[in-house]
Amino acid sequence: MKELADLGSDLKDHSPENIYSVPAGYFEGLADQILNRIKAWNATDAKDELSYLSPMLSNVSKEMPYAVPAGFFQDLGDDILKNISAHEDYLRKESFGREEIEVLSPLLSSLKNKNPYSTPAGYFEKLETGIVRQRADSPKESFATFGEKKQTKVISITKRRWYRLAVAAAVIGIIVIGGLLFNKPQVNPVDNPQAWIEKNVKKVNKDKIDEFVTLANDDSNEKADSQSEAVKKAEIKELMKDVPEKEIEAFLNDAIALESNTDTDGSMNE
Amino acid sequence: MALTTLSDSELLVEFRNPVTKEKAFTSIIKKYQEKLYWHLRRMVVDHDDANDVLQNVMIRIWNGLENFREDSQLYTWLYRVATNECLTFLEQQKKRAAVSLSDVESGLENKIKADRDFDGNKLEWKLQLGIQQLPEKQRIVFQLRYYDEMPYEEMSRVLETSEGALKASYHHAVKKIEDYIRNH
Repeated sequence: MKELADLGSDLKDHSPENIYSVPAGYFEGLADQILNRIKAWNATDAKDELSYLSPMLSNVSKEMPYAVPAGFFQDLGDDILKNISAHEDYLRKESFGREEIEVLSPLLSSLKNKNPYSTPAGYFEKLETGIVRQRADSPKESFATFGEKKQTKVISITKRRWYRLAVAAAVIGIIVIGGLLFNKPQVNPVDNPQAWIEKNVKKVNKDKIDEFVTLANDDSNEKADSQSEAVKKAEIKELMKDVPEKEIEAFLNDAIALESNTDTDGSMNE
Repeated sequence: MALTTLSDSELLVEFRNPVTKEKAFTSIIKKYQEKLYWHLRRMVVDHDDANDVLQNVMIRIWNGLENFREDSQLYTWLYRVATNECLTFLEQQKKRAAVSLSDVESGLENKIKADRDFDGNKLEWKLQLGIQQLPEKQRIVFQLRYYDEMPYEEMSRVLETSEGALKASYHHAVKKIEDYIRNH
């Protein structure tokens, strides 16, 4: 209080009373309570544990106040097995609708086929024709009668085994031949002119070749003739360069005369 | 030998034999039906609800027992299946009611009070009402320990919670229920 006064605090005027309350007898029983809790914590037996925790509860009867229908436990096993069977039938989807509902609820089972709803008179008879008319209007539909679809006979072209094998062989052959042709080595006319010529000559028609050869021969003969004539003229000129021109004229005149005599009787050399 | 006298391991062997499967299953039901029923009934209060949940539990047992690995006691596994099924049921109840958790719990309290034998002055009815004040999981812990005296080790396998947490939860639950009874 002196300290508060020295500090000049207003708290020095307040009485330091405790405003909180404590349950009556709290401290008297606190030590025993804590000790009992320690014992309960260390207890192995449930009864001992409860006796330390709550002597009151340990004295309350554990008999349940709830009632159980008579014979409940006697029939429980059979009821459970029946339900398991019904459950397994549901899982297996074996006569689910009939058996399970009969087991679970005979009342609902009896009501199953009783339909409370009604339909207009002749509804189902008109329904068919109505739908057929509707389908006839639709260009995509081609049903002859409602509910009947004409089955087109399908003849499989691949049914026969030999046919399939032949097709497969043909396809393989095409692939192989194509591969060979594609991969055939090309003959270079520069590197191997003879092979190139031989290869390409084979492609040319035989008549064309003969014609070419003939023409080639004519050309070469003409050339040879022209060439040999030119040589002869050069030789004659060389031989006659020393012979006087008068003697050549005289020779030519004698040759002409001689030729004309031969033509007349036509038998000079026979 | 009558199947009812067989141990859990022997019953499992019989269950896995197609010839004796149904008999073994019936024996298992007879052996544990009341324990499982009351475990469920204490949670859901209403007999019809308890019966529905119990039926579902038994179907799950029938389907799952074949693959039970026996890494825990059979009854531990049965309780685990029942507890999970019960929690699923209560969850579905909440969704159907489309109300908050507290409203569903007051619904269970109302079911207790609606029981034809209910007597608010009797300690055993006050106890039931006190139990319903607990959160779901704490309720299960209390009931397994208080009514079934299940060891914490087994309970931890059932609820997949540590033993220490379960012990603490149980001790708090006892305190709460005691306080409820004293005040009502």
